[in-house]
Amino acid sequence: MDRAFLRRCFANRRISVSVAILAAVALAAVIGPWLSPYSHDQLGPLRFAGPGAVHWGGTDLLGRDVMTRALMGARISLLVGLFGAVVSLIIGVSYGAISGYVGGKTDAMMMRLVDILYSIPRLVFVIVLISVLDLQVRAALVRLGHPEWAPQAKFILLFAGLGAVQWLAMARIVRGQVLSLKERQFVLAARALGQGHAAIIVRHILPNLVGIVIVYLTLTIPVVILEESLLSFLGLGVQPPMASWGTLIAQGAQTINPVKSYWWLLVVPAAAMALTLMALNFLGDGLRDVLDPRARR
Amino acid sequence: MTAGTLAVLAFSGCGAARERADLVFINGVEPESLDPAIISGQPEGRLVMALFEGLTSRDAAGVVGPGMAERWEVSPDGREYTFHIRGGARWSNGDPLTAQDFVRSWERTLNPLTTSPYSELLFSVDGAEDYAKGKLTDFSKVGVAVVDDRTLRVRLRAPTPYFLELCAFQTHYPVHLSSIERYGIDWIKPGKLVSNGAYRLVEWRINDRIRLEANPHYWRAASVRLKTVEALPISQATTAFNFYSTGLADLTLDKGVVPPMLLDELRKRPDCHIAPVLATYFYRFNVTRKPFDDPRVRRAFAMALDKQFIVGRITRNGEPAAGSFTPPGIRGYDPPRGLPHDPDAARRLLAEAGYPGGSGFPPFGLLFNSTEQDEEIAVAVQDLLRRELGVRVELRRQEWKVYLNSLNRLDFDMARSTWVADYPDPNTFLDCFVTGRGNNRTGWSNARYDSLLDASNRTLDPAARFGLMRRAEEILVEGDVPIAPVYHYVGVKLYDARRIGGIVLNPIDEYPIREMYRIGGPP
Amino acid sequence: MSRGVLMRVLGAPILLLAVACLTFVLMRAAPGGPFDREKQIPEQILRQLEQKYKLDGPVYDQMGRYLWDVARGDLRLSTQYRNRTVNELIAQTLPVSMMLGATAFAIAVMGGSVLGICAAAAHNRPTDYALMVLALVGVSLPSFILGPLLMLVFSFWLGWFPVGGWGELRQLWLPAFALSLPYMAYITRLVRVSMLEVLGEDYVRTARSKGVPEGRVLFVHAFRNAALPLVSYSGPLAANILTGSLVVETIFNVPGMGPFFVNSVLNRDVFLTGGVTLIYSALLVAFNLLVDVAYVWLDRRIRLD
Repeated sequence: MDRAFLRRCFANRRISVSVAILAAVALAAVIGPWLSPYSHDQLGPLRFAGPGAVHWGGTDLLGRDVMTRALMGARISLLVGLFGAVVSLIIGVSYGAISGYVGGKTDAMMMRLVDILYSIPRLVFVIVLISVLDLQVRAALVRLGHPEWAPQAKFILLFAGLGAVQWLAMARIVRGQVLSLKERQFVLAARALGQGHAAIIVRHILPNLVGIVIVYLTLTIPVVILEESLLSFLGLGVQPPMASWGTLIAQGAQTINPVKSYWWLLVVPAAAMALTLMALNFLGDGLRDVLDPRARR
Repeated sequence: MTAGTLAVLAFSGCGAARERADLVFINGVEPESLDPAIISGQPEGRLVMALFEGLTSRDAAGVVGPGMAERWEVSPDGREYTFHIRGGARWSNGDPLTAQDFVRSWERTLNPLTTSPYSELLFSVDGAEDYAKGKLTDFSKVGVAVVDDRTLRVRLRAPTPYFLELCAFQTHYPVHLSSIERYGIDWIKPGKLVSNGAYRLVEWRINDRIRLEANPHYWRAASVRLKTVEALPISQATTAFNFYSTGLADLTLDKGVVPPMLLDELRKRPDCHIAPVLATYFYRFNVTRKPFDDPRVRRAFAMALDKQFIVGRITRNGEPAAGSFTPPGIRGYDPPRGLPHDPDAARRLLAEAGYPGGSGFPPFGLLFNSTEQDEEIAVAVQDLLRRELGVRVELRRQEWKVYLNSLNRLDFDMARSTWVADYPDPNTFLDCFVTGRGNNRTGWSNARYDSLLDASNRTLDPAARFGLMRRAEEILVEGDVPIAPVYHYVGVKLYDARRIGGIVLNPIDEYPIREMYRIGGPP
Repeated sequence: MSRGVLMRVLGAPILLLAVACLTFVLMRAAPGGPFDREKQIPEQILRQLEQKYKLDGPVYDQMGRYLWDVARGDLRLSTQYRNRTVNELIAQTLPVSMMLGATAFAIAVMGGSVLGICAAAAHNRPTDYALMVLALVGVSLPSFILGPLLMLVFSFWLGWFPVGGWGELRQLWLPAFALSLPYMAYITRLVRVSMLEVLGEDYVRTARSKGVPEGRVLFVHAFRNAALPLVSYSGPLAANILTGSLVVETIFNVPGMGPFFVNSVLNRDVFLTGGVTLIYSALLVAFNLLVDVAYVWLDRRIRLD
């Protein structure tokens, strides 16, 4: 990426502010749990203690420190969001690029498959997918000689599954771009010079997709994080004692009632998540403005 | 335009201002069916008990008394029952109800083609099991016979002291066979369902409500005080509580619909009613897998569990910590004490088994599904086992059907489970762990346990019978320990006792609606 | 264009069968079966059940028979709601979801358009910023938080609406609003961006210079052109919102189809999952067609003007 582009990015106030917020959240997620005197799965004697000097974010039913859990939740949610988006990116870009570049019947077939997958409700797809793959992934981990990774199987599945339902839009966009790119002068020239297909795709087509891919990535992360929170609401999210923002918020949702509210259980993780998602959306919008000259003004 | 058409569609069939039922209660999930032979859940059971009635029936306190049969005689060997069906016994369409209805209904339940999940409860009838398993094709050889229209004779394969309890259970209810023949699977729908209980079905809107009305042909219709009753299928705790607290519902009967986060507050309120029920929360060990094939390991685990912590900090409804599998509260039965909470002894046992301080103990999985507070309990148990025994536990949460599947295939190391009594007798608990039973789900087999239980079921004298059962249970919870009981459940009901009467908390956890009434006029 | 539409109409049944096929295979591949219960069912009963629900024999054979039934419009019996056909379950719950969804759709489109226009009109001024932040909050909070929050404010504090239920008009507004909020937020952002683009065009400047009132410029001249992205978005939106929402329908206890999408999967009720998925796909195809037609029509009218 060239300097001018970076300078343009940082000149954009939306981009610089959201990058600062995201950096702060990421930093807190990385070093926060390490600085905290508590561990995220350490049970304590205080049940539902309000925020105070001892526990800044209060405690939950089992006396665990809510702030520490929210910080650990940040790690999990950001990882799920990032990996989920990357998985969708890899599938989406390669699928879309191949479909668009090869064209013809293959293209038609590949796009029909996208249509079919598009027509299955996302939630149905992801729940079944995770469930189908659960035992398989575990078995595979054991066979590969890494049984100690088995506890993380669910986690791997989560972002693989969430990524696997998000790639469709990317595939369509990339295909459209590739279709128009491959008729452009420089691609035709490369072909005339006898360059191989792989070389053309890697050298000439993919670099032209970088902009759209970055925008897409920043806008997919919040979608994946939200989707994970919905799965947590359904009791299908990350495995305890791990917790994501989604798990914490889903548990915290119960505090919205007229009888007795342990509000910190909801406010701490929800604020962190909302802030992060807003920053990501802002960043995506900002990047689109910078990269898409038509929308820039 | 579209919205207008749809509005007509969606709101048609219900008057602008519907009359509120005398009682509206929250009934957990949407019923899967209302066919007494098909259902297996509590929400369905509750409605079916309002719609149908067996030879015997339960009163407000859950005690069994006369139902469709006004009286009965039992032979001295305890194996033959003669039921006399009351003269006023009628179906909700006015048809007389006869002994023949019972025979044909039991035949239907036992017929494999009906696919009744609970047909096993009829197996105490002589020959019933053979008929259900296809070994006997002639139903007239099964021990249930019509003497005349109003007399039914039942021959049991062994004296079954709880047989009258079973007669009050859904599998033993009569159904209106001619309407089943006429309507097929639609027979349980409003306008078609012919029932013989205190109520008849007038409306059933999926995921919305089920409305019942008093059945004028019911033999004690005069004593039924709530003329209209509505059941709301709400399974989300917060939603259920919102409905209750804003007066849209008068009563909640399931613990599952009380938001766990509010327990501390609700427990202090006068409209919150808590009482023990016959159900146990426990852990299964897979005895076919190392290291749980070693009884010392299982005993060590059972003794390391701090059950007081779990009931005091997590469940918080005054659940008694469980030593035995059978809960206290079955009259005449004194369950064994079980293993004490003794971490030191547990550590010694684990060392004896070859894992001093947990060293060398392979990592293993704790299987659970996410209902109610399973997640918190699992986290606490993980923490306890790590601290007390030094073993590493991986928590494995699976969605409900996958979890059941793992249990059935014995694909787990240690798993959480619940058992709810079908009838108030230790047999409903202890029978699970007989070798090869479908609900065994541990791979455990103990010849002495099997023979003690078998002997108990041939013994007529209650004290001697319970003695044999107790010895069997000692093997289960003190000797071999294929399971570790954690706590016995309590039921949590929300209702204003100043406005609704006729609810008597009971360990069977059955609350006949026909016994309930309003105090101080309509809502 | 008309040939394209024809092709897609003809292709729709094939697409739907492919969807049914894929759903069936995935559901059967998932661990756990429809007849796994808390208390184990005896083996011979299980066999009978599998036969009764046509889930016996090899999977390809099961699927073949299923597709044949689907092609004839028979979505089969639900394995969970034992006395009901999937057709019946959908027939009872879909109208409810559509009623709720149509209302939410109207709120989302109208509210989102108006807010988007206002934000664009106040470009880079406080109103714009405030609306954008609100819209971002709307898409950044999970719906299972938004619903209870609305309920807390409008039912418990203000007492304007009941906490749930279905059948009366006043029970409609709160769930409809909760359902529409995230979409409204999205539409606001969508409309704002396309309005900003359009407002720079010559004909808008011309209209302004001719002294057309500002409101008319914004809502008529500019919006008609800026509405095209909204039209394309409304196809998938309609399919999504009309087939019901798991979260909103659960929280407000609305007897719609939404909860079936997830519950049927969790209960391995393979035919119910198949049925609701088919309905969703059919609506998606139909609305996308409708949108394409509307798009062309609108585009032509705009160019003609």
